[in-house]
Amino acid sequence: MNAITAVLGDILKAEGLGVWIGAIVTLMVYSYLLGDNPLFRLAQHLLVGIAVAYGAIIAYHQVLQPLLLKPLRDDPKAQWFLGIPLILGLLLLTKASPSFSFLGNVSIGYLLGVGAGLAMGGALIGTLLPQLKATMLSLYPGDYGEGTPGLLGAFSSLVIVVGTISTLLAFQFTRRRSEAGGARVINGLLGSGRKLGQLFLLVAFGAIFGNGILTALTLLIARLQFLLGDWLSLIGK
Amino acid sequence: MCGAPNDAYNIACTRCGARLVPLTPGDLPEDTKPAGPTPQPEGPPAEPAAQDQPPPVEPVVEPEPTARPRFSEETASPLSRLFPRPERTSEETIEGESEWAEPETIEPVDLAARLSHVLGEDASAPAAESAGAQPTPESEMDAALVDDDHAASSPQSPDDETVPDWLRSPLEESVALADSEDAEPTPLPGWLQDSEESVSTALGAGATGWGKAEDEEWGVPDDSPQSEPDTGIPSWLLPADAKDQPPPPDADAAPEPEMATLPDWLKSLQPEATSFADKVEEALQRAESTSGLLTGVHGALPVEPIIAMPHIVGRVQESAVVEDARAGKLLMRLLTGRQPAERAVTAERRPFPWRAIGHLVLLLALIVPLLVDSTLFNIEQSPAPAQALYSTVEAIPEDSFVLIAFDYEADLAGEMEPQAEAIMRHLRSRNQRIGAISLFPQGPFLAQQAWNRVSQDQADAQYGQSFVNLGFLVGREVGLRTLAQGPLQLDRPDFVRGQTLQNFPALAGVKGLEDIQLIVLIGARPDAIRWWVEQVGSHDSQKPLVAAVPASVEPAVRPYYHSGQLRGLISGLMGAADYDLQTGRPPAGGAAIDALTLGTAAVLLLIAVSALFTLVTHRRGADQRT
Repeated sequence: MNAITAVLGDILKAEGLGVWIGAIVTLMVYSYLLGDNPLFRLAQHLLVGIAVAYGAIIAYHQVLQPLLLKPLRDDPKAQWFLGIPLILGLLLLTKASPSFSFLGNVSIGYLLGVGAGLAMGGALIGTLLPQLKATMLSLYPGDYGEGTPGLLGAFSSLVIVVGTISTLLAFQFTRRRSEAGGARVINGLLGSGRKLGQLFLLVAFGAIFGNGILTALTLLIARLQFLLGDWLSLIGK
Repeated sequence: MCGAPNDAYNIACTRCGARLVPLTPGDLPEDTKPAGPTPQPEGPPAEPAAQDQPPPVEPVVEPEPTARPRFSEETASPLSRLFPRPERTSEETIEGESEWAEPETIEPVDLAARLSHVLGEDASAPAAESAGAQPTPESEMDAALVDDDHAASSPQSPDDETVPDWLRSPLEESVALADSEDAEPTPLPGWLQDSEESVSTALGAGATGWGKAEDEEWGVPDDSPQSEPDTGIPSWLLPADAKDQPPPPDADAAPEPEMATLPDWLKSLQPEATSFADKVEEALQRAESTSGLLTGVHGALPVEPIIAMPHIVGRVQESAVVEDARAGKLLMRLLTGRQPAERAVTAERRPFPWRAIGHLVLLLALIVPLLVDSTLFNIEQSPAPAQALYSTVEAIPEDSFVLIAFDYEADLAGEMEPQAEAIMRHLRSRNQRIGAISLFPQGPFLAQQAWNRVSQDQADAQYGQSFVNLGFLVGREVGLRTLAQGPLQLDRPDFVRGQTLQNFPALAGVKGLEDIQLIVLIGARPDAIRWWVEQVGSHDSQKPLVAAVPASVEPAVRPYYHSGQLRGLISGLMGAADYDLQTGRPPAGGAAIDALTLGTAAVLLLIAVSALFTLVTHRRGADQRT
């Protein structure tokens, strides 16, 4: 098998067949600019099929065969506990049958339980608490240096604090019912904070959109470099 | 049940003989059974148990010595008191018919007399009237009916043994009232007198109850009898095959409202039945139901023809549409006094290709710098996160093991490969051992491609000694938690040669996470960065983590840098170029930096032009509307 792949790799590299295939598929995808057409659909199906097939091959050669099947085959007595994930994995295949899909609920439950537990713990310890701690910033300029740098640092911290609080307020859709006394003041403050948070959200969405344009342009430039350089040899590498 | 109509006082169906009234406990007395051969009905046994039999009841009247079936009081229905059942002779019974069969002819009954008897009136006067109103009995059956009427009209004593218990109390009241010297014949109640008048008025209107004119309109035959005596029974109470017809209307009754007739011009708009389906529908509407429960009702649609005949949709006549359009134009001309403006038919204009122009401008802005290999734009100052990443890599001792996570796929390889190669070259410049791992199936292959390009520039870069591909790490968060907590699985094969990892010199002395000096996260998705930070960074907060992400992901990952969980951060093609500059190399991408800069400028220009154009056109449209 290694010899076959080596020969194929040599052929593709020498003849540039891989470059031609890449260029043709790239043009098939870009044909969508002219409208939906069978070439674009063919390229879509090729992408999905090749990605799934490649993932299945990697999963077998990188996970199932070296970590499960080979140890069970070589030393089943010492590796008997590997039969448990093997059985759970086989039960997962029963999900394809409506009559026996209930048998796969054990595997699904195990996956969901472990994944949810790890995700919840990681979100709490790895994201929420550190981010909360990072938002507790000092607004004293002296903590950021002398003079202008200190002022700029304090202003930056103030923007971060105000932006965080107002953005959280922007997702509060309730208010106090009564309008008497301090309730009116509180409602007014919450309303103002909500509007300011929406402003911060708009700025954040604009930044995300602008960065998305940069990513798209970068990918287009990379494809143009491939077509003009590797395929047509119009530009140097 | 055959569904044939039967009178209210019928005990059994005249057509099929099915019993219409529920059976009561007990059986007919022996002397009430007909003399002739009568077939026994099917069902439960005729002779119930002795203890369940009702007390014997003597027959009330025996008008004729001939054997004739009579109904007993206990087994008769309550309605039989109001409407005595005419009897049928034994020769007239049909097979399967019970002894409760009804005669074919039905004599009209004096409703007023019956009601008066029930209410306990002095039946002498109404009985005389009813006796006088009844026709001459033509047969024994009629005589029996008359006798029965006489018997029913005379008030019975409550002590009579034939009177059932449920009727004793009203009879007692009626007898007491009759015996009273001051008793006066109780007139009919108002509601009964009014109903009689309304019924007689309705009878005079004809068979349909509307009027003769309407009957003629709908084609209803005028079969109302003109010389029949007024029996007081509405025609709708009489059966369909009754020979006697309701009496003519009362002359003193209120004039009947005439049915409105359609004007001729409206009748002309009525669509004519041209198709076969329309003709059938008209015929069905004119048809009068002569059988079944809807006897006498006009326009009742039978189910079968509707189901059997499919609905045919008629075609719209185009000439009618054109005629309507012409008529509309003529009307407008007459109303406004001027000729309606003819809409000029012009060729369909194609819109200006603004989108194509925008695409062309953007394409030129990207292609031209690549073709001319321009280097117009330079990076003046590196951002702080990029400097922090450089400093973090510089702080690692030489010949250390650095783990690089290639968590991206082929779709974003164009933006991630320059960053990965820049970092790998820097690491190799400091003689660091690199281990590649990935949470995605395509990552190991892309890592190998990046190493192949980096190793071309360095002679001492050998696979297995300087670089080893650990392959695909399954499980995402679970795999990362296993990696962080447990030892490295060195008995796994690598991605390139399939050999056990522990055999490679690059992994010498590396047992677990504690032996890894730096973890570089090259992730195309914010989830990938988050998984590493949450599972590995939270486990060992002292382990340095740096990241290289696409420009679109940087806003989501920046908080991790500001919180200190990431020691350094670069993003996009600009981040790779900036990192190369910091390491003293020419910027990655070369002319791509100029293309990216010009392309971004073209996008800004297009956005600004479109915004101005929209503003101007909107203002012009608002002015025109005002």
